[in-house]
Amino acid sequence: MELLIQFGFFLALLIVGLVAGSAAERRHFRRLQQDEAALREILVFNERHLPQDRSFVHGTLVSGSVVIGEDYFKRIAASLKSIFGGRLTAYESLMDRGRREAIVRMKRQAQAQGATMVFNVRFETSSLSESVAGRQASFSAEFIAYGTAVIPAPA
Amino acid sequence: MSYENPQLPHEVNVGREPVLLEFLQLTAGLAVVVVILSATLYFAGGQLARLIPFAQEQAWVGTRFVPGIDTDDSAQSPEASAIRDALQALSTRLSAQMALPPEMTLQLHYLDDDSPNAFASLGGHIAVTSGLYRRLDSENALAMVLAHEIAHIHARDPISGLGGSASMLVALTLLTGNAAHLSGAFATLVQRGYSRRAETAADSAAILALQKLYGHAGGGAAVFETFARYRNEHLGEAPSLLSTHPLDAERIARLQAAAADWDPQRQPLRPLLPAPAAAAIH
Repeated sequence: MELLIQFGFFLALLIVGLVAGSAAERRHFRRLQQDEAALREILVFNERHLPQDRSFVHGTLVSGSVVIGEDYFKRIAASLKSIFGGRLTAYESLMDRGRREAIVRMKRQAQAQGATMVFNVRFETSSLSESVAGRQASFSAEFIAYGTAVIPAPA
Repeated sequence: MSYENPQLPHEVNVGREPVLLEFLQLTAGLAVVVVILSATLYFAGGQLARLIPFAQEQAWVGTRFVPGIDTDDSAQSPEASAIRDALQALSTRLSAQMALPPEMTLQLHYLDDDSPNAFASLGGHIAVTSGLYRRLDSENALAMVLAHEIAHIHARDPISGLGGSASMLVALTLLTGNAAHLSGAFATLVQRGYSRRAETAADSAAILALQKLYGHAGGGAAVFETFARYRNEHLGEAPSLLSTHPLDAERIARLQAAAADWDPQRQPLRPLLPAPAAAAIH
């Protein structure tokens, strides 16, 4: 009986994670697509040097950061997959969402500065989860993208 | 130099495989592996446990044969003590017929419990509940019960079950890490009874013992009729899915076949002595 109750809770959490998690993911991807389309005129490069054939009046550091957490289903699916090995597809989408969102936010900051291009763009990812007393905390990661936004000289 | 950001396909970074399908496949695969591992360990542990000398098993168990049940037989009422002595005497006669090795000493217990039940436990302990005793109609039926339980002890089924569960529990605890509570619950689920084959073997041995002791196997079927009736009346209390006892109808048929040559007129059943208190009989 006790086992059944435990299993019921587990199953309920799993279903909540699956339903709510994949709905949130779908929504996020849809919004990312819209945001990326809206910010297309801000160009981003990881080139370290500014182009010599045009002039800029100003350069400034811009950054965008986001923290994305997993859902219960992803967590169980990933730990199950870790037994057998292979690509953790459950986390691949999460990481992709994080990177794209960080770029979107960085571009938005650049746009607010009046910049049209961001050079020397770098990504950093850090896991926020910490295991507490041997128990694996739920996984979440911070994604930060930063670069040098340049404001073009008036033509 | 021209700079542009063409629209790149982001899908290359994200697996498009259905995550749920993969999860279900992996779960099924893992379940198969765990079941095979558990079954192997249960079987191997059970076989190894049979090698433990019976004297060692008895030394470990001592008089505490079932946790949670008062085994202090000396505190029982005179009637219960008389019944317990009768159980002990009958089991001695039966074990002589069953060629039980002399070092396998039995200790009988009469438990005050209204549900009909009898079981063999570690260390040669056998318990019969008052609920079963007062539902039996002859000494032959009681002998069937006792012979069945003696056969379990003779086959070392209790220690085998313990050895099997213990090795499985250890493996599952190692496998699931801190989820010891989970594997404990799993182990008790498995520990609910002996295997179907062990039950059938015990039945066969009991029928043989009955035939040797009384010259016929008549009256034995009444035991399983009693269990079947009780289960029908209290449906839901005993989940039949979890019960490993062979189906009652199957056992009754077997016993009736074994008692086919029994002539109730010429070979009457022996009365149950001491008789269960008349008032207690429903």
